[in-house]
Amino acid sequence: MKALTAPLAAALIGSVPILLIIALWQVIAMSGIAPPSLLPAPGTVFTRLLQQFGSLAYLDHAATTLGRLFAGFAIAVVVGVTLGVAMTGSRWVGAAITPLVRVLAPVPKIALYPAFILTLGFEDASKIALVVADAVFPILLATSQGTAAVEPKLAWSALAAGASRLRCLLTVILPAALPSILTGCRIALVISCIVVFLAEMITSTDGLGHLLVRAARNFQSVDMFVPLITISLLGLLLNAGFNAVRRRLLAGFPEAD
Amino acid sequence: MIAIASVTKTFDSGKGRRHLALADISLDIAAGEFVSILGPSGCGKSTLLYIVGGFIPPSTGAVLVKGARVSGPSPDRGPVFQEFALFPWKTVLGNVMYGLERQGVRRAQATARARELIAMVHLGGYESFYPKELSGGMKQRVAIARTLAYGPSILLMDEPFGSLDAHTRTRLQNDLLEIWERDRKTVMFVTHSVEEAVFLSDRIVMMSRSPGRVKDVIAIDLPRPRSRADLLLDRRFQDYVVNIERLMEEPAPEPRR
Repeated sequence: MKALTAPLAAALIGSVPILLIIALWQVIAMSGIAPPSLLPAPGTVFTRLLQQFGSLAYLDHAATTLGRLFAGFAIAVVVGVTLGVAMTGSRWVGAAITPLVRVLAPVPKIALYPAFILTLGFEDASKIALVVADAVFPILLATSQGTAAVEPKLAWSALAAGASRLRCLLTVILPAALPSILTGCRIALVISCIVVFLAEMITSTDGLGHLLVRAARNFQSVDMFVPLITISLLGLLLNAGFNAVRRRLLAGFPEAD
Repeated sequence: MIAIASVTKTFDSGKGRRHLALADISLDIAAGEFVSILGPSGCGKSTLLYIVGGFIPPSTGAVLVKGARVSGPSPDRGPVFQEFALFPWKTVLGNVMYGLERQGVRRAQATARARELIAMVHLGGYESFYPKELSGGMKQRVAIARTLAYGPSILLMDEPFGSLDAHTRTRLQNDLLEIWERDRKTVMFVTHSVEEAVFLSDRIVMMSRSPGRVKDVIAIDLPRPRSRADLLLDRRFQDYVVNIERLMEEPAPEPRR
């Protein structure tokens, strides 16, 4: 009984601050500090949100954003994990890539966006590129550090069993570093949500970020808040999905729970 | 079988200081012999075992196994570690099958062989359990089965029962002797327990600390197969234990700096 109610209680406690913020929003809206045309009441916004969920056009924009987010995140995972494992697997690769990572990681990737637009165009590619550029570093760093920190005796056990160095890297060191890699991926997923939205706000003809900017330019304050709440709900769903995948992948690890 | 010839090992302990862990160790181990390396913690006995395993290189000197110089791990030398070093993402069956797969054994055959080995270490029925669901003693049984799976002629055991409670330790010692008496593998067994060393070994190599060197080699002339109950009552067993414990308490020869 207790085991059943504990997650429920946690969820209830967790929802309190969110409800408080919405309540605060309601109070501010009612107080008249800001006119309703600029700061609509939460009720108005949520009603509009539900309406939009029934609109194919709106869902199409959301799907566009989600598609870019997934594409960017997926490329970042593949590139980040591959490079991170290669850095641990080969001293030469590590020596070659580490300085590059140190130089590029602190660069605000959004500064690269104009260059991406000029080279890749206004469509999906430049936005996906920006998501990759921002999401790849946490994954890369988590992978290279996680794989480097794997208990050597795990690798020794594999090598003694007859595994080649490469096979040991792929069948033992990579899975052993999975908890760390997935932590990097989780951070990268949140970053991807932020960056795809940002990219769409700067230059786009579709997507949730574009809807927000378009609404703001037209003083449609209700429509301005709807994409914002949508992306945060998407983030919530993605995180839940991520956790489900993580639990499956980490079956057997003490970190799974 | 194993010839350790003038092996030394120095570690860089940072700031340009070097720490001599092993000083000029020479030792021969015959085929089918059960040899314990006994010494206080920090005497380099595990380091010596890792050098024989080919996991770390000696600073000078060499290890010859069956006349060939050790240059890396080989399935002929199977390690068993105190920390078990099981693959947490693999089930008991998956762990035991790892070595068989690396040896190119067909999947169906490997499964059958792994099940046999799991039954041999008294874990029948636990095939689909993850290591984290097992007790320490059970984990070490899995680790032993995983190592036996690829058929090494030499077992390198690094304080394998060091982290187990007294009761489990005794049971595993008995089981290990039973397995060893069946196929007489060459065993190099690192321990700091005098009783364990006397109970299991044909010969005990006593090591002293900083730097690690061979202090004494003692042949244990007790009948086999050995049973713990008989030995505990055996005067000769008691004498061995008492004498060796006395030897261990003697101060190490002048430490060289």
